[in-house]
Amino acid sequence: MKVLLCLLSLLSYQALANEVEPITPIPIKMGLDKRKVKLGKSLFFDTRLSKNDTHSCASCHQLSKAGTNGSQFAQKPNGALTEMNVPSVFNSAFNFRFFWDGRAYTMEDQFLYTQRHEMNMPIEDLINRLHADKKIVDAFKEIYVDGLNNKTIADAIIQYQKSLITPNSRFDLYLMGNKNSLTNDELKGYQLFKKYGCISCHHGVNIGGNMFQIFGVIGDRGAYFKRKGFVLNRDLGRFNITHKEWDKFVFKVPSLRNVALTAPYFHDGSIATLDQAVDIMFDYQLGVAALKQEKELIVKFLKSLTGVYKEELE
Amino acid sequence: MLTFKESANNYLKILEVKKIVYGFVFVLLATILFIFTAKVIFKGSGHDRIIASFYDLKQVDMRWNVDALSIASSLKNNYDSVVSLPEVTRRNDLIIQILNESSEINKEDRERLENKINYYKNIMVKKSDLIERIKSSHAVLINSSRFISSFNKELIFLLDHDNELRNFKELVEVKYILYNALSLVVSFIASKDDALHEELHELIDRLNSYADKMPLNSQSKVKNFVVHILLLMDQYKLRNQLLNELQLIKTDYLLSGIESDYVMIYNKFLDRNDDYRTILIFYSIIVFLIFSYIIIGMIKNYKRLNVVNMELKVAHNEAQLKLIHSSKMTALGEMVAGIAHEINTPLAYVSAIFSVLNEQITKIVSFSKEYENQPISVKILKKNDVDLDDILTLLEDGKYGINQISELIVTMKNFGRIDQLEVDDFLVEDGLDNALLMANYTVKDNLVIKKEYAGVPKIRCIPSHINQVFLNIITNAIQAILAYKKNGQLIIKTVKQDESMIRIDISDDGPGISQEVLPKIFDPFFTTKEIGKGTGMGLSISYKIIESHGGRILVDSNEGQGATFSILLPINKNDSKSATFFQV
Repeated sequence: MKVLLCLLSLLSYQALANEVEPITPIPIKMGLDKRKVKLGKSLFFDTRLSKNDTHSCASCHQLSKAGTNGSQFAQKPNGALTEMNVPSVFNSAFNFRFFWDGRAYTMEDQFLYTQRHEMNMPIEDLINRLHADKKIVDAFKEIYVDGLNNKTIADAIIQYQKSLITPNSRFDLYLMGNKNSLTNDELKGYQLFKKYGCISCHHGVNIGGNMFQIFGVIGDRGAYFKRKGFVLNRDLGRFNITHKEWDKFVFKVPSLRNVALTAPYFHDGSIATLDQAVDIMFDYQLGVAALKQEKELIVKFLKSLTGVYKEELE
Repeated sequence: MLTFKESANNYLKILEVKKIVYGFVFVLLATILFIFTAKVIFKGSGHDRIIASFYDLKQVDMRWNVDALSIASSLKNNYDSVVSLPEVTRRNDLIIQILNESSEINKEDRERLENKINYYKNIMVKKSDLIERIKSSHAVLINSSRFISSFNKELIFLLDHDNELRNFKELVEVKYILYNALSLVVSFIASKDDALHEELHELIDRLNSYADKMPLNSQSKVKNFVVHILLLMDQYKLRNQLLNELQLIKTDYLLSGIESDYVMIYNKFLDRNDDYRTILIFYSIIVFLIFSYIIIGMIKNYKRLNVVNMELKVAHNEAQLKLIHSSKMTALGEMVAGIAHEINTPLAYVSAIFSVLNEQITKIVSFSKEYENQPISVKILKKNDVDLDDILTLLEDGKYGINQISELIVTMKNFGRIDQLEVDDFLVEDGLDNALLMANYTVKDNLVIKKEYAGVPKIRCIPSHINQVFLNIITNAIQAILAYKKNGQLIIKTVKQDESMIRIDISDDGPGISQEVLPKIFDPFFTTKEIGKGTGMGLSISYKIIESHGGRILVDSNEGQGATFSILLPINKNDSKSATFFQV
């Protein structure tokens, strides 16, 4: 009886937290300056951002592929493959940090880093390059008091990135009160998602993207990677940035928005299907032996997270 | 009374002193300007923005603390707003930027503050890392506790009813350890006693050793359960540890310290600003005093200069009057010869007449004694060579000669009023006649004088001065003609130029004035005459006199064709300015 009482207290521990839905819908509008968004868009698709005019932002973050490139990795302008799977540009504005290891605190940092390391075109060079283009210089002059410079060019691209959101997923509609927008299975899936504790990390507006977590809660540290027989540098995650023991195998929890469209999965793009990914999560993050049907329901729920991108430039 | 030289020296000294004073005033003004411009610590609302940033930073810090605790007590199921480091760094950078833009904060203060802010930033990075770890840890903790609570019944049911376990000897032990472990978890959560944590680990090790002997199905379930109990314990311990660390980071004190440092710097600035204001007032008073001193000095100097000026003017006037007089005396000297000759002529004439008359009268007296008691007839007189008609004529002639002398003396008397400086109404035509009369005595009969008087109105002037001018010019003209040829002509013309001016033209047909000489004729001491014959002052003084009357002298001359002097004089009827004539 004693134990039961104790467990009750643990349960009541949970009770408060469950009153409010832990996931919030994506806002319909971001309230951005459309001129800046338009200017940012032209830069987003501009291959002059890479050294040899081979890549634009959109080369890897393809809007038609849910803001990623549909492959395990991407080819960089220098021909080498990226270390990490390309994260989606959609809804990135809602992430708390950027890159899988969360090295960038702001979108500006992310942009500057990508320019220097992926595009081989540090911002200073980029400015020089764009200054030759009178049309762009004039466009900046018209919109920004300071004209074309480090800050404004980053801002324009960021404004466009911020406009890349996918509201109105069926799940968001459900959250906003349309109880019929989810099928029973999907709803059951959502409940299981919460029950098994996926929600503990995947919550907030991006259903993830607001905290770090170790990959492999269950078992010894790094068991997931050691199982493959080798551990790559990229698998150390946040440790690469902080060099703290506790940050080994720690990653930014990825957003599950549009997750049905962003295969392959995980930081190394090693997992091809959503079912496999869910299995791995159950085994290494939750340590729960769920039924196959339950996992299927959860996958169904995950598929209801696909939203709609609507470009509004005029 | 100072002499002229002393006054002049004093004046130069004053100029020197003034230069120094001006330099000093310039320095003072520049200082005031400096104090004025150095009065702002930040452009715009820098101070307000810094204070607002400190306020925001405090709010952010407080919110972080609350958020961390909310997560730890599961009051939050959405970590979106927990936590954003940029909202700290952005404000830190803003404060540093504003501090750097200010020239009023000394480098030392600024660097100290900047270092503290950067230190604070680093601490906040650590704090955010701690909170991130609390987030991660708590997510695992929650899941394990959720698992334990939901799987508990299932496990108990399994242990009670699983057929496979019926033959498992240590089932009671396993059950006991499980119950014990759960109660340990609860105690640990309540007491946070690390000893319990170690005890639990021992229990779990024992449980695992028993579980190894269990059938596979229940073994994996028990082991899974054990994993979560351990996770719960470990994460709970870790989370508490993190919360403790969080508590030890006294960001609020740090921030308050930085803020009070800043406020101290700001107050230092305000104090200095007060000092500046005091200095400013002090300087303003000094500048005011110096200006007053300069102005008073200038007034004094001006007065002194006025006195010196007056003295100079008086001396100048005296010198001028003396010059005029001396030139007049020279002119008179020239006249004397002529006049003596002129007076001699009627005198000789009168004396001849009177000797003849004497003869005649003597005759009359002698024969009248012969013809005593007899009437004397004209015939008798005739017979005795006494011509009564002749006598009458001679008397007439003598009277004429005497009249001529007296007339000459009247003229001289008129002309002699040289020191009479009273302003009077004066008919220039009379003046011209007088001057002609004076000059005429030097004139031989072969000089034709033509007068063309227009009957100009009287002018207000100093008559003796004007007379002198006329005499000067006429004498010059006559001398010029006579030196040139035997028969000459002098034309004197008066014209009413307009309502306010009259003009007198004195033209001769002498040799004229050459182009080289013409510009110099009015210069003092310039003369073309032989040494001793002219003073060189005549025309110069004439010019001055006419100028002082508000008139002008013009000369029109071609060499060999005579010269015309035109004198323009204002009529000046009842003009009060006439008093200025005194100052020739």
